[in-house]
Amino acid sequence: MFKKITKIYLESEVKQQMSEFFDEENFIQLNNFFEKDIDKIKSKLNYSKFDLKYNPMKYKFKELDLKNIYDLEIIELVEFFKSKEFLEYIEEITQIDLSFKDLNLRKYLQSDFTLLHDNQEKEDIIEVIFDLSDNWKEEFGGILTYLTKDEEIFYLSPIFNSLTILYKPEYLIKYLKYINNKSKGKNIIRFEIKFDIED
Amino acid sequence: MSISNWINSNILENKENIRKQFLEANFFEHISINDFLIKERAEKLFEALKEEKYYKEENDLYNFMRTVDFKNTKNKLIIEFRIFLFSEEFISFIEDITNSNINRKVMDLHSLKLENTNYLLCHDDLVLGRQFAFIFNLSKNWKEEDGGKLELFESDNKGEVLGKIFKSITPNFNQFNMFKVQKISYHQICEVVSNKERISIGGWYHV
Repeated sequence: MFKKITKIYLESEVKQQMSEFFDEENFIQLNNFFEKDIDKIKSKLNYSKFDLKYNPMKYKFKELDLKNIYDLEIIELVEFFKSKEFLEYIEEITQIDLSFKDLNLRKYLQSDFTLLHDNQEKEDIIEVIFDLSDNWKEEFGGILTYLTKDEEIFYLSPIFNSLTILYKPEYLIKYLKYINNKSKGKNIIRFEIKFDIED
Repeated sequence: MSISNWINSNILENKENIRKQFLEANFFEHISINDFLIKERAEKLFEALKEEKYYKEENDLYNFMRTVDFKNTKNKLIIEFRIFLFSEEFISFIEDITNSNINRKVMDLHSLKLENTNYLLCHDDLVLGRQFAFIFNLSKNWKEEDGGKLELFESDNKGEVLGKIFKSITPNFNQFNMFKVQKISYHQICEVVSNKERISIGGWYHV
């Protein structure tokens, strides 16, 4: 998979710039992250069976059971996000020593949401989101909002084939806005990856 | 003014039955009664609400329009309605069917409006002092396919909410809903999925 990353994101000079941007902003979004084969994976995921995860006071979405994937291309992508080379790539951009914590593959459709009550990390982490969403509009809902106790500070809209890296301090909480009927069957599909920050 | 000027007489005659339904309801005490107010009163209330200003409110849990509390409204009909809800006779009626004591000094009252894509996700209403939540639905010709149902959630024996709805109430015109606010009074208003407006007057009686 590493070879399928859009070439420019692997160039030393560009990585240097990305790293500087991340240092300033605490996040970076890389659009068109993979160069090829990603449409095929998207359509496979559209037809994969996701399990409903529903706690009315916390969240509603669908999740793919990663122990139960048989499609080689999906497995390859999951393994890539868990791999040492991907970890090193994220370390290079963030300039932070990391260890892999967690990966979830989730799908959000109409009537899905996550609330602020949802379990939130007790420590600073690095969040990485690889997005395979349908063509999305803000009016559908589904915007991921990061906020402190006082103000909303960061919004993440679904963008197909984008990789977002975010430094998430423990005091930052988030929710995914309820997806309404304007979304008409479109979905958000995301690999949600977390890295612990090493001391 | 007597409450028989506001409520349909059969409701008052049916008090024992209503009391039983409320107190013996599944999971948490609640009741839903259609054709509650005298029809002309409900019609006039609906008209009166057109003069009220609604403010958009939005966060992780909800997206809807709400008025400020009606304690300061200048709308004559709504003032009268508030006096009725606050009257000794009506409060005694509520106390009878709920087997409780209600605070005579405090009551919250406002109107809620949900338009297409608006919702109010699952919550318990628990705020210090609140005892009973009540809702008068005033949208006309509401159909199941318009969405906007009031849904009540099951809970387990530890009081944790389950992802399972045990009652789904279509908001009919002139319907009265009430439930006892408690840790397990988990409920939601589903998304409105048509271009109709779901309008209600609601509030809380306090302990």
